[in-house]
Amino acid sequence: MNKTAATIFLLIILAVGNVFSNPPVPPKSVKSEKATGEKIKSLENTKVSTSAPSVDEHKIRKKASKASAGSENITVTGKIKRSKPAAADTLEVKGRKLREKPSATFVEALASESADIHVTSRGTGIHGVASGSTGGIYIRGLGGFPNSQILMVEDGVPDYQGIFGHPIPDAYSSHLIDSVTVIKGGDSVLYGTNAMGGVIVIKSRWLKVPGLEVIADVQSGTFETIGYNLSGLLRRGPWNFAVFASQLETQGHRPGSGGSRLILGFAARRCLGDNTELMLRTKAVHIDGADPGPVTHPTPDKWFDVWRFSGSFGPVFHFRKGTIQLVSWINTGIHKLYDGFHSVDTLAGITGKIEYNINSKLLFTTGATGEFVDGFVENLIDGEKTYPPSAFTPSVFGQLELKPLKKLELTTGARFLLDTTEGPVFLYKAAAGYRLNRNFRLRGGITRNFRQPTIRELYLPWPVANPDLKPEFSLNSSAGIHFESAHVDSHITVFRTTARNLIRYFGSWPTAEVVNIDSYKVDGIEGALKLKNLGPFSPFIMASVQDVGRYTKQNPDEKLIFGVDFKLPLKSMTVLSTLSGQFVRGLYMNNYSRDPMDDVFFLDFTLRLRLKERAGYRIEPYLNVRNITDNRYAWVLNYTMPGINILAGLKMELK
Amino acid sequence: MKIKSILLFTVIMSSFLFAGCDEDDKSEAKALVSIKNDFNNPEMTYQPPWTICKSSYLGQEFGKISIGETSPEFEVTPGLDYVLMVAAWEDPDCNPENCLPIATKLEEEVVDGQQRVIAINMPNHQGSCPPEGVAPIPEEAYNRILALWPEYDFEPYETRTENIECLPDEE
Repeated sequence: MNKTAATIFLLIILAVGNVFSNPPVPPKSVKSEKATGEKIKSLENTKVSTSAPSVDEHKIRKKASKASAGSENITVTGKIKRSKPAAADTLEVKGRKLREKPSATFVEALASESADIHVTSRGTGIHGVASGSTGGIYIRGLGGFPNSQILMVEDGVPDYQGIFGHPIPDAYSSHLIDSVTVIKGGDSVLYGTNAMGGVIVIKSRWLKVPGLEVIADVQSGTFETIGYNLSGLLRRGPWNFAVFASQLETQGHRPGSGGSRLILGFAARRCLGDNTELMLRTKAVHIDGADPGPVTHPTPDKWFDVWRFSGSFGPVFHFRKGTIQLVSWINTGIHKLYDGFHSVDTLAGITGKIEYNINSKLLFTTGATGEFVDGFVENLIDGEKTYPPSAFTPSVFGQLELKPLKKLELTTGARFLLDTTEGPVFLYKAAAGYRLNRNFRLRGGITRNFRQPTIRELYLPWPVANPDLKPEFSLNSSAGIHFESAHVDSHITVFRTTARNLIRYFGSWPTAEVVNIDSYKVDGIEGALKLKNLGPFSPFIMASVQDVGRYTKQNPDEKLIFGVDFKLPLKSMTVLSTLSGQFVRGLYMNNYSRDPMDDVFFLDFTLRLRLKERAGYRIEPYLNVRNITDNRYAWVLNYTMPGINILAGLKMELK
Repeated sequence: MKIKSILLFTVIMSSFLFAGCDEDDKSEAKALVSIKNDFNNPEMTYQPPWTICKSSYLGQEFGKISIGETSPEFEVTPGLDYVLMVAAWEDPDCNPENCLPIATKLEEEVVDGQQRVIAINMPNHQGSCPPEGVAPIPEEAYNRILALWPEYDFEPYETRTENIECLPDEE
């Protein structure tokens, strides 16, 4: 498939979407002023869209001045979910959907949700760290190895390794996640450093209504893979608790490709009166495994052992027109490698944020952040310790979301910060969304993002360091057309990712150098077509074509995701099944189109039997079959993926 | 009103995409490169006495570079390539019988706007009949050297170890 053909294909997707569309669906809007008492009653806990663009669900109190049946005043209390802003270039995925995917890890599941997200893998569940690791996340051509151009934000807190500046892909489990929002093209205005190519915003689970929920999920499969996932959510009175544990152990499909991952977490939230909440979250992660090495030269003795601990704490104040939130966090990690490497890194910070609805057409967000990064490294063989300087970055930011016309939404924002080496840095963004009608939406945006040099790049001579390095900057723009109806969900987006001041290593020891020199440009087009509510079958197809220039290292030219969801409600159970696959072309092991790799093609299958709830509990056996065509493919040269493999599990839900 | 709004929106969209075009759209990219004969680098346990007699990188000839010296700076089109060289063993005069084809160990890269000194030293080279610990030169790089400097009359790749400089010294 050449690129022109692919582009035409994507255009056809949209045209087909239009053909399959139903008559326009009335919007779920609320006209409380004229609502009848019955209608008002039904508003409670109903999702509705509001005219104001925005962020998250929030509590409102609304007074209906007159009901049509009478003239008495009626007060309605409920939750309103704001509609997705028309200007947003985001992918939103429910945690449940990620959990039910056959993908071996959270980041791989995410990459199967959009064709412009690419994630490397090497086996059945552990990505690892250091040499031979995978889990590199590319969003529209930026990111990869290391992942420092992609930012993970977990419950409002940035999450990355302090010395190397990248997230740990094994530190997340879909079992603990309520929803994930991927901000394509990044957003350094709201999220600061590393949000260059994209931001992955993870929201963990809380119980939304009073009660208790316990979910246990045990699984076992090929390569002696065993997984245990346990989550307990309790909401009682002013308290809301969440406890979770997730463990995965696998021997892997070849020596060294196995490992284990343990994630433990505890969260508590307490309401103080009507308008204030206090929130605490803690998490511990342990990962161990090895670099299996290429199949031609296995290196299963190259082990790693990683512990990471994180915690955040802060109050949230709700007032009539918005919220004030204060979050402080700390994230520390201990990494050990087979070669004597030992590091301890710490990331800490505090953010204060105010969201203020000036009126129904104007939402203003502002805040300030201070972020601190520190760490040391040690050679456990000779005992030599290195204490690089720490860094503190203060910044202020603001964002305005407005709706000047009934169908037009605009977003603009800026962040100003003081970087250790660059000095003052100014970042900005602007986006616009226009609702053509109830089905079509046009959007476009541009954002200037950045990544600060890491401690390793600045101070640690592996093989060389440069304390004068300055931040990398990206300027990402995109424009798209979206079509949504009762049966079709489709979109096409064209994007351009540019970056400059890139930090690059040249040469080799002892004459290597690391400098800010390079620039980068990616042009691409991405689209999706999903059919839904047409009976038991819901087919979907997603495609992306991009020109990454000479940055071809594990950054594919073309990606196609396809499949069909099957849902059949029966008397005693609901049968859920998905057959899905990926086809990836234009893979290279190195830049400049060197070391071309075979195209990747694989099919996965999952089957779940969701039994009806009985006496407060529900059982759901499931089966995942990965790579059902038993292809020998690889994302990383000579790190061949496993052939056909199976994971069977049982989910038990108690409410 | 609707048409006006759509037109306005189209203009905004276009401006976003055009704003994404920045200074990266340069048609005449260039980099400044010089090559250093770093075979006497004291950080190495061994300093092989190679004089670089001929050198070429990304199509630009850099000439002779004596041990410890750096070539003049030349403009090249950015890219990735081996530094191809003819080097003479313990012979600052570069007599052909002491010469051999050598290349950098890795393909060296320069990007637009970069000013770079590429150091050639013990770990950063590979040759035809190297001393222990030096990787053999790839066939493609070897043949390019033969094509660049045919006057040295080096052996074909298959018999590269029979080049005169590779043969053991006569007693």
